[in-house]
Amino acid sequence: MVRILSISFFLFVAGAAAAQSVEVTGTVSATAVGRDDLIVFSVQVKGASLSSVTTPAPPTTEGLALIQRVPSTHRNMTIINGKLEESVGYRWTFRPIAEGDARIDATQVVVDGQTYSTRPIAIRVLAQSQAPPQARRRQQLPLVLPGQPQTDESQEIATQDLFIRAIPSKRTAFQNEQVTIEYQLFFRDGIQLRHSRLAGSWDAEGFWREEFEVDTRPIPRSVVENGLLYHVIVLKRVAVFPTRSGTLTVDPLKIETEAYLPVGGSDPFERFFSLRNRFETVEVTSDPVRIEVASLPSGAPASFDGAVGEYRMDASLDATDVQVGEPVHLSVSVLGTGNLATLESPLFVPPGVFEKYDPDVSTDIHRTGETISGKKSFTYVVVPRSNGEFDLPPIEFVYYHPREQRYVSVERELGTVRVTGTAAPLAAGTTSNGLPVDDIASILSSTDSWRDTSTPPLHRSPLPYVALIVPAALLLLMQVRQRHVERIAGDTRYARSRMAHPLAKKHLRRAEQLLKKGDPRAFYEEIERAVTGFIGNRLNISELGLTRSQIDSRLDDAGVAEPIRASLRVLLEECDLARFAPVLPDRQTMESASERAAHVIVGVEEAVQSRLSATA
Amino acid sequence: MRIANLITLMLLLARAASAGDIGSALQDFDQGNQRYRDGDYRGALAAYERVLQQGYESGVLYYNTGNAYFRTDEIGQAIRYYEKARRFVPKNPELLHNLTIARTHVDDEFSRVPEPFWRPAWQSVARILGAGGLFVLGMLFYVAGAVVLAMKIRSGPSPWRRRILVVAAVGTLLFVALSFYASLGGADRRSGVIIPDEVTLMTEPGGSESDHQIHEGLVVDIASERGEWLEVRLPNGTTGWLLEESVGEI
Repeated sequence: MVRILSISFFLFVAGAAAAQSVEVTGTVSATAVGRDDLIVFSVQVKGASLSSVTTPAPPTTEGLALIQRVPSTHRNMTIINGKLEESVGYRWTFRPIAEGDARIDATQVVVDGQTYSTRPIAIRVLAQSQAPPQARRRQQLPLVLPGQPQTDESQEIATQDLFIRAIPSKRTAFQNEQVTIEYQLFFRDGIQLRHSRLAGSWDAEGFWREEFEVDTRPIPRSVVENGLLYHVIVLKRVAVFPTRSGTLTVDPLKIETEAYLPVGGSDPFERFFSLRNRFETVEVTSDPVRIEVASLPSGAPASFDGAVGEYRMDASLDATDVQVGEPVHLSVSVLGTGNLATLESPLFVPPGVFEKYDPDVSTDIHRTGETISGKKSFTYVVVPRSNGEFDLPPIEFVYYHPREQRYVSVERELGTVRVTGTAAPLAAGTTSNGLPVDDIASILSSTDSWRDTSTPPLHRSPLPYVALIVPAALLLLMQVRQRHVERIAGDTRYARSRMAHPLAKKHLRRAEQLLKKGDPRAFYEEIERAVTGFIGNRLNISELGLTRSQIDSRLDDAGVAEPIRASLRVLLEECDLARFAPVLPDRQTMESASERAAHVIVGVEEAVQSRLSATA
Repeated sequence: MRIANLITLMLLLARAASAGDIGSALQDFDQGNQRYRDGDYRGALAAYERVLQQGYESGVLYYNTGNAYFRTDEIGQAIRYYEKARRFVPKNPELLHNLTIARTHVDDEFSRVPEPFWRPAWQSVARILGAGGLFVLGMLFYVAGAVVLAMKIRSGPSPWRRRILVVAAVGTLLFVALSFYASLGGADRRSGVIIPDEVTLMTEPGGSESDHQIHEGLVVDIASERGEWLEVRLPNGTTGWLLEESVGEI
């Protein structure tokens, strides 16, 4: 980027100052001179006419000898912005007495009866061989001494005469904190510049940059530095915002200009004519600017979005009573100093019933003050899609305050929005099957079948398990029964043993009935049938063809104990007796017989069972 | 045959008994619809929620809930309920249309890992019959097998009975197994929808963030669960961990 700087080229007008008040400055042609060089000391009185200034006495000096006591007097009249500026200058020439430090003391100037004073100036006198070249040249600047040849060819601009100073507002900063850098062009009184332009590119890597507005036709300001009179113009002012931490460097500013050193002589005609050829192109470069950037401290609130500076925030709603579907505008302005260009929108989360659109953002940056400041406005549009009263959450903006070194959170309450009315059907085209093109289809009122969510899923319900087990169990039962039936049909022993109990029970029950009826003969018959039938069935023998003793021996074989067998013998005898005896037994005897019969049956069963389990 | 009748009757009775009082649920459903038409979408959502709390669900209920969420600009929830509705009324044209519209609001687009060929067929069978239907089918084979087995017990084996028994056993095993698989959630993979505007996928539960950011409305499969963390699989097959609360399960 090469930008032509249109600096006014008529800067040589000495004493060009906008100030109305009287200003007295003392300057020297050089602060370091050779033993044989001359030093010109000038006193400039600005804002005063020649008549009002009393010609000052030459300053007292140390190590310098005054060549001529009466100063040469110069008078300048300039019209700046329509105002006449007058200045008067007095010059004395000195010669060093010896090598070493020398000094020009303060000079008193009386203007309109008021005394002004210049500052003392220190001078270093060197051996002629070590004298800086500019000193040799400078001696010829204001005056052309008789007998000394002009050495135009040797003229050159020294860094002391023309330089750019980069002045950063601070050398250490936080990330994204504003740092302003001002580039000032210093040129010695008497140097003329023209066709100045920016040479090469200026860059600030790692920084966001905002340029300040600078006067394109600046009026130079005069400053005295180390006793030398300079004119200063501001070339560039820029605010840089470091985007990362560490040591960051801003490139030097480089300009190319044509500079002219006047060749002395007080003859204005000579000066004018000498302008043509003696301009030479020079490059002037500032120093690079290094800035130490610290990252922001930890502990930033969650909604912090990188803003650093000093801000305030305003927020307002354009309406709080609206209809469904009517937009509500929320205007949020963030004002202050800092990097407004990269400022993110403050956090705003309206209730879900509001449709939120991306905010309109406008930025207004002021580039004229000491720092970059301005205003960034965000206009959110939210559209309520449902009626009701809605509390909008406060809008929040968080920034880091570098001076106070803390995070600042600004919140603005937005209050309640009342939404009335009902949603209008959205106008939209429809597809061939009647569905809206860019919108969802409406709700359905007739529903498909309802499902009970409280019903447990199949695998948690007992029903399937029952349904699976029941047929299996039934089949198993069926199988067992079938086996039983088949065995009874084919296995007499099994069939008789299965029948023994039910038959014996049947006979005993009948015997009971007969006892109640009072029929002893039939009773004993039944008792005998119950006992012998049971024994026959259980031992799988035909009891009818057996004598009592045969039965007894079979029982003995079957392992029936003697007391049971004896009891059986008694019982069977009793039965025989009862059937044939003329005297019938009493009821008590019959009840005892019934009990003993049951006892015998149990005893036989136990014996048979134990024998069976023993053989198994 | 008596057994089959008994089981069917028991199943029907169980369904009828738990259905309870549907009148109040229907009232809430109608009220929700009215609120929706009046533009009070929050009110509609509250009414639909009451229906669910009473223990009833239906495809249309989920569809309407999805609509109300869409109107309140909660796209993640809208997609979640549309997806729920899809399990009941997978072919409903309005539902498919709305799902398409809602998906246009989703930021993420992923290539899709192809599904095994049998999955869609199995899913539609499971949706049409349900676990109960599959079980009843299995029971038909079972009962038929049981009847033939009973005949075999009574009258002895015969070649055709054997063949029927083999077929019945295979049918029973297949359909009962499928019914339990469907009941355990095997038909629809466990999935969810991203609810927050943006979440970062974690490499492990509570671990470091991966560079995958996913956005509201994306449907992800839920692969596993550990505490309050869910392992999700993106449509392109990438997996990562998310906090339970950022995923709305379908």
